[in-house]
Amino acid sequence: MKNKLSNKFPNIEFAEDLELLTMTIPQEDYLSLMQLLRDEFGFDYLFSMTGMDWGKDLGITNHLENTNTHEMVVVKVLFPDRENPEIETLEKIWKTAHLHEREIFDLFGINFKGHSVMKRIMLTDDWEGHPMRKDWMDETKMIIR
Amino acid sequence: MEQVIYNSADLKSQEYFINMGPQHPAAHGVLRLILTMDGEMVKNIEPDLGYIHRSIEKQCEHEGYKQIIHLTDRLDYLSSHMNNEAVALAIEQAMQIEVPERVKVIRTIMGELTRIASHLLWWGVMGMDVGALTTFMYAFRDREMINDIMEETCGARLTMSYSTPGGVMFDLHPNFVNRVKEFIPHLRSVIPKYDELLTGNIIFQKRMKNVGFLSAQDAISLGASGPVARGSGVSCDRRIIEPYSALSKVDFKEILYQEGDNLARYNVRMKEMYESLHIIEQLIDNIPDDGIQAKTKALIKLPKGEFLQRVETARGDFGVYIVSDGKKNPYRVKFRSPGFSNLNTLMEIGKNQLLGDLIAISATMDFVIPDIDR
Repeated sequence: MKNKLSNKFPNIEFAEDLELLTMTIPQEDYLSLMQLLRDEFGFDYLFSMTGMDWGKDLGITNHLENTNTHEMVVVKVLFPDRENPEIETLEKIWKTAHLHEREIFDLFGINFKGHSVMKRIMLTDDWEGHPMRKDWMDETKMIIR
Repeated sequence: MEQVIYNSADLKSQEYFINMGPQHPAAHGVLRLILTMDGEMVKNIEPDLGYIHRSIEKQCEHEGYKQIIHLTDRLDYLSSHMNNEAVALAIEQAMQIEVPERVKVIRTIMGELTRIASHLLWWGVMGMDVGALTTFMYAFRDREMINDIMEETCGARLTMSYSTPGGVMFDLHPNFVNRVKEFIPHLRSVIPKYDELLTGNIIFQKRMKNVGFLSAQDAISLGASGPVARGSGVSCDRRIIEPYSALSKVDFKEILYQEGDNLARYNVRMKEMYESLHIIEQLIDNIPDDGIQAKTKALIKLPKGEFLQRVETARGDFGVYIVSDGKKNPYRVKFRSPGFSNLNTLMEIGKNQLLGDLIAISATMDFVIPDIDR
């Protein structure tokens, strides 16, 4: 599977030291790779989508599972542009992406192109900033003591 | 006098909005659903979350690993023991700690007791949602017995925080084994009475059968897990796929129903209670005696890396994803809560249903709102 993927997507990077098969992919390959993972490799269950703030880059980490073999893969995307991070939505591939992407949009400020309802879900509409980012200042000591 | 005759084809309906919640009695907490209605038909469901959002994931980034466990009780407070266990297992997996056999058995027994308590509460409020008020009283009477057992050993009735990295907080209370052994035959004798009271009721059956259909394919695509997915015939029990703690030593069945309607999800939970009792029965007589705590350092620092642990809570597939940079606090913790994805399922299958049916469907989804909001 590793070989097949790296033949098709030469810019894919596999992590060596992690237990699950983990790959970091460039933004432009994201949608086609995710589609391929579901259609050809049978990863039909999107377990979770995690927003990440790696300090310099923002990112998304997707955990996928094959419901027949119960294998898992982890797909990561990085966004060097912290001001306008943007990526295609996975809504059409996995319906569960709908809520996960709205949560990431709300708490990390990553925009999903083509999402049906790209609005905040946890916080109020007039909230400023994205609190799960590492550079968000908790001025009222709401969360951090 | 001239008589006005209305022709139904000339009448036009207009879409309008209804706020369900955040304090609707059938919503079990502060879940707000904004419903687009056409007459009595639900056309669209738009959830508005965050009424109980505490940003537990952010709080975790500022707490040590031992403290995190106490925050996870507050996610799904009806599966608090399984949530604790998930974090403890993730830390043990990262630190490569081998816990004593006694701890594994205790954790599994506690987990299954919690599952029964959760399903009992669900059965009570499920009946209330569809208009059978008596169920609540019966369910709470029996759930109380589990709470008392928990209280004796863990010192808490709901938010136990009983698991710690490497073990459990206290040893079992001397009464524990006897009280659990009293409880098992009691519950076995009352579940048939539950069936008599609610399951066989013709009104209840009519509201459950062929309502809220979820196909297996949709269940997977929507990320549904737990009894919701198993009601549609999707085999997804983490206890069987990847047995943790003492679950590899016991023998039990995964309850699967193929129908995918409300009644299937209802039946899965009712049957699961028997399976949980069966698991406890196999373990309760031979609890090993090799200590309740593995040796750990006072200050836990996880090695650099990423760790994922999944467990089966009463609601489904709960995941803890820890990213560590080697410090005493985690760099990032993600809690993948089953309720969040199951809410997405409700948004899909609740469309084009009657408003009354939506209440019944959401009852079979078994939402706990702090689990969704986190």
